[in-house]
Amino acid sequence: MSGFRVVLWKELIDLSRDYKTIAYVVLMPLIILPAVALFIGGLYSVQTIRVAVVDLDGGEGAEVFISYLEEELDGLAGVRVELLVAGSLEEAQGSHVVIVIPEGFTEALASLDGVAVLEVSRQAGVVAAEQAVQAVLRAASRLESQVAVLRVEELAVLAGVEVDPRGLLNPLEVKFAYHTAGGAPAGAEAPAAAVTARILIFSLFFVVNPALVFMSDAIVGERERRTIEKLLLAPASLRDILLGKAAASVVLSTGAAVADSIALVAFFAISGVGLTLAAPVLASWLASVVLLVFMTTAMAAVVAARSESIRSAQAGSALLMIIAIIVFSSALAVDYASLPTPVQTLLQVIPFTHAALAVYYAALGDILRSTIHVAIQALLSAALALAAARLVDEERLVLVR
Amino acid sequence: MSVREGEVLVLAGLNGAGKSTTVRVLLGLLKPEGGTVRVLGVEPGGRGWDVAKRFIGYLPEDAQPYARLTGYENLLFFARLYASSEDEAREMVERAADMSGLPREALSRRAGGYSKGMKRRLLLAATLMHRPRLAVLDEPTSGVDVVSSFRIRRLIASLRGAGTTFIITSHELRGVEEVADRVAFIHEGRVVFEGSVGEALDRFSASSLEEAFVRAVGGLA
Repeated sequence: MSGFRVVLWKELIDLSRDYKTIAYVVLMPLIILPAVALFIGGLYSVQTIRVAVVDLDGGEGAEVFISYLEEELDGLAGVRVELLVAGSLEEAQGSHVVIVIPEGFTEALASLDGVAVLEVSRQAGVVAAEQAVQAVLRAASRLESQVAVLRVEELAVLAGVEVDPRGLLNPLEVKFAYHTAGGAPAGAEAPAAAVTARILIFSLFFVVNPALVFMSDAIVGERERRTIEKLLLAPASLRDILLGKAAASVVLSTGAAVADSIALVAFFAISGVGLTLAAPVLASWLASVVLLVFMTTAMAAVVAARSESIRSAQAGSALLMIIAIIVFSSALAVDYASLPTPVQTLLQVIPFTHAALAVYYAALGDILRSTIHVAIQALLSAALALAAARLVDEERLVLVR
Repeated sequence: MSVREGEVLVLAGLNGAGKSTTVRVLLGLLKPEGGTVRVLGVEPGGRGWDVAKRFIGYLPEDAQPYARLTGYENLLFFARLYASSEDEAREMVERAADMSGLPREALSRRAGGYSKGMKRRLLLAATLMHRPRLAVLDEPTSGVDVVSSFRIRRLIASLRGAGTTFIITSHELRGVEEVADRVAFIHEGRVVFEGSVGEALDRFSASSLEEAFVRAVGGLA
């Protein structure tokens, strides 16, 4: 019977019954990542931020400001705010944000050229307090605009001219839009699509891990059990044995990788990042997932079979993992196209980079480049598989030191 | 050193004497530094070796069955590698199940939970189920209990009668003396004696193979 199919059958049963490894590699990220997002998001939202306004003015200006502040604080997402209007600083003690409206605040606002002052103090290191401060600034800005309009109208009456206060106050209007790398207009969903692409590239890291784990186990585990010698003496060629093991690893790793990647996307979605999936991005990501599994499996086969001890095989796999982490996590912040050419060239020596670039260019709308990097991955997978077949020999598989 | 068809050759040596290395070289798993090897008329790893391998059964020292596969699945895996059809593979599995002497209920359980003796019997059955012309058994009874050791020796004796040639390595000579036709004593990487069991006893004025071996390696000097 076909040695390849028989080995594949055995490996699929053997690896799929390795429940602990599957739990570590697949289920834990699948459960833990969304759970962490829910947990962190949940904890954040049940925090209470105390904001105190010490109104020493007591005038109409202070009243308007406080009403604006209440509206802005009500609109804060994901955090609970407790607003206290205090008569003195002592009453405001223990608050995360303290706003003092000094005496004369309303009077300064009411005069034609007075400068009203708001004193805002926040407790350092409290993330949600920063959110509250942003609300304070928005409330202040609304009041400021309103007072400025009133002052312009008053000046216009004094000068006997007719003016549009809004035009006078905002003589320059900035209009924002998005465009693609090619210069074509992009919709308002473009930033979310770009963030999605970065997250998808980062999620490719989860592809590398299962492929390394399953392939290393398939070879090193066989060595440890000393069954590799028996297998090599059976009527299956070394090529069939390696291909059977690699195919099983690819099947399980692809499943694990897709599950883990979904978990990561769920993590970000639950965390509040708006995810937008475009068809070319999804297609390039799926192609990269499958090809990355092939590439990593071939690399793991070479590392495991050429290592002279189990420890060195583990060290080799760990090194590949570190390289993968560097490449895929850099996608969260780095814009590849903006890198200097020598750096880009250097990065492309690393096979993992092409998986990242395929998704990156698809997100930019550059389908040609995306396809080129998918093709490079296919070529590298074939080359690495050939290298694995050539570099692995029976003597190395047998000898465990 | 040569092994004739249908005989049982026991390779005896102290730990680290080179028994397992010799076996690995014989089977093409390691390349020899010098000399020539021919097994079933073929150079291991050379032309015709893939065909010759079909007629060889090999039980490595300390080999373990696949722990997450049942006993049956372990047998079926190796059977499928040797068989040309699924029916033939199932036949082999039935034969191997009988050879192993393991209860059917045990064979339906995962092999990881077997005792050392059960594991050894399972792997021995997997080694012999395709009725090899040459069976190479590296320490087949090492570490197993008396009953398993007895069963293993009885299986070897029955297959020798059916024409299978055996090369057995062992450092426990009392166990294999009854099945051995010829012995080769290996000491520090060299064959220091090769001949029939009777010749070994005469040559070293010994009453048992174990005593002959001890004298051969200077253990009584």
